[in-house]
Amino acid sequence: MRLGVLTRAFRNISRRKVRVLLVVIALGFSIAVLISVPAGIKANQDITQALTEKYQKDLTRLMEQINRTALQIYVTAGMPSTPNNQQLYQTFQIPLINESIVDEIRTLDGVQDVVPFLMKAFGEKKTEQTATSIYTYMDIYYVIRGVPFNSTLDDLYFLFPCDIIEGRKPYDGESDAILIGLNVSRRFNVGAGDTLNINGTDFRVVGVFRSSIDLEEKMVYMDLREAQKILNAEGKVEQIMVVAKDLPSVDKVANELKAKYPDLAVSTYHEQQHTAESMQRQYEEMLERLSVRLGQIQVTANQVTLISLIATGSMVLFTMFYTVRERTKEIGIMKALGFTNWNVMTQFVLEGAIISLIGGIVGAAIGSVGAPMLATLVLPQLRSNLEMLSSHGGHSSAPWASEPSVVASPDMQLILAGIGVAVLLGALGSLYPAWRASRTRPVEALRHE
Amino acid sequence: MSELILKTEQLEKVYKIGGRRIRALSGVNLQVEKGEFVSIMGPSGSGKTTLLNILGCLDKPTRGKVILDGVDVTKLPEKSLYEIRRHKIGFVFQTFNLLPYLNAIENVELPMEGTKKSRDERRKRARELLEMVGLSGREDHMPHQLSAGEQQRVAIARALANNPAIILADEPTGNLDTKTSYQIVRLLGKLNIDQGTTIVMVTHDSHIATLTDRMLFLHDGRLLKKERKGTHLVEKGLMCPRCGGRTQPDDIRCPHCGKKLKK
Repeated sequence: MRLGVLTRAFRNISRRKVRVLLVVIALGFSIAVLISVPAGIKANQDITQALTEKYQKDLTRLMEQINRTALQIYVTAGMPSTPNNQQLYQTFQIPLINESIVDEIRTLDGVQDVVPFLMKAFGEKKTEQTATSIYTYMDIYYVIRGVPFNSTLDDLYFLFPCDIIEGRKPYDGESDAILIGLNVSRRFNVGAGDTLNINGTDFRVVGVFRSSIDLEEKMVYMDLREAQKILNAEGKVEQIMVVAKDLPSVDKVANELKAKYPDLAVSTYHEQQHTAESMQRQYEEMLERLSVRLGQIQVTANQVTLISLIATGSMVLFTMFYTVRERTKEIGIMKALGFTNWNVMTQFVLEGAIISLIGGIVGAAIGSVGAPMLATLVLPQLRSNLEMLSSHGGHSSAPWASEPSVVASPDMQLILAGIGVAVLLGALGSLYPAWRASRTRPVEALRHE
Repeated sequence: MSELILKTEQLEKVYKIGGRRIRALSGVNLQVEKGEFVSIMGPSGSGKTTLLNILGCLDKPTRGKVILDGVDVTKLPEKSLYEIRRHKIGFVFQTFNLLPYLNAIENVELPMEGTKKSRDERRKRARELLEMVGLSGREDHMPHQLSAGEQQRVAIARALANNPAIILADEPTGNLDTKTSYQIVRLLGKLNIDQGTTIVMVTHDSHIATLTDRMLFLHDGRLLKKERKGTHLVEKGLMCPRCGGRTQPDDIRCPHCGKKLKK
């Protein structure tokens, strides 16, 4: 019995190729949309999630650093607050301070230690054009960071980065040694033991370190004296780290510094906290915007999916109605031969389900191959969302620039669900026409031409 | 006395069309004996097809009884009627009504679907039936590859599939040329004699009707009193053309009236 019904279903389907093809195409497209859209949304959710996590991690690290370095006061030339890294490195001309004040500060009451730094970025200005805008940015080759090669200070205040993946940190007073970031190591193809020419002077690379911050990996750590030499900045420093004896002394020392050197910018952990807070606000705003967009996209996505499902469902319904009408006589014959209502209904529902299964498989195939394209085609906001993500900041120092690009790829579960929906749609779409068909009185059905 | 296979009592069918009542059948009392080949004649609109549809359980009478093989089918629920149609009745239609997407043997197998017969048994039976109607070798032909006469033969084989108690043929020659019509009626007659199949055939062609045992006349929904003997059994040498008495094919004279029989 079953076999006979199946055979007849397949024969009938193959008899009406054009009609079946149309239904399959409509259903296929609908299912492809059904599969692609959630995949696209999921890709967006994933990237939002990844960004949130990254932001959280950055913030946590910053806060930890602030707490750890609460005793540290930073003195720089002329800038009102601690310059954040981005501003600092994008400006090639950084005002310098006379090193002589280092010793003056050392004598102040409540001061534990004073560590001077020098920093300068090397690179060139570059312009890049994308579809929507033009960016000008600094392509930084490397950033020289002059620090005292002093292991005691390093142990206390972490002068060097800690994630060294090759070689070692420089020894005290090892004036021809440099410690370079992974980015520099790759760009100049040098590793521990190699020589690297910095601004006309050869240095020995003793170690390579890794960092989660792109810019950090462009650092070249060298002895402060050497840095001053090659940068023609003897007797000058760019930043002074003043370490207070204890927490209550921090504000006292800071106030004294501000009073004594009104031209200099003095920043304590309070200011750094402000920076962190504003950074957090910025991140939160960004995430907020993202989630609002994501919400909008989801609404549109649901609408698109619903509309396409309704359209396809109607088409299946219409086609099955038409088919049933056309085959009324056949229903009469079958009934005259002793087939029951149930037999007739099974036949039509089965045909609907088979056509839909084919449509579903076609849709799944289109969906799994064309999901990235379809997802952006159906939901143009998706693309702009991705553009927003990649253009914000515009250059490699943006924290999300290193994220992998968003690709909507449906998983197996989604594909199977799509096929399931197709079969269900086909079965439901043919249920009513089939029910109507099965209830046709045999005499009337036979009279139908 | 032969047993009755089909009997109707005061059969009446009234249609309502646009508020008007149309009496298609009225007071039809019909009796068909087992093994008979009966034709029902009448002009179009006389209610032939209505009668046949009611006899075939495709339609219900407004009043009256239809007793088929001892069962009053008018009292049966719709569900049981499927069984009756499947096992007791074989239909032959004017327009053959083969399923166009099934080949000859599949069309014959169709009514056996859902019966207890296995796939192999169904196939074997269908093959035998096609051979019986003279279509061996044409099993795999689709309906459109067969001539009209051949299609009607397939339809007859299909009607016989479940060994029905009665075959109801509605104008089986209506769509055929004269020569093919005779072939089909002769085939029905052969089945009637060889297999003992009871056949009720509706036709408006008197030449075709004479080839049966008995001709009944339907006029304006009423079965006329007059009946005529057909030549069906005479041709086979089984009936005396003068007195209607039973004869043997070997008889030279009628044992009842002494008429010399043609050889």
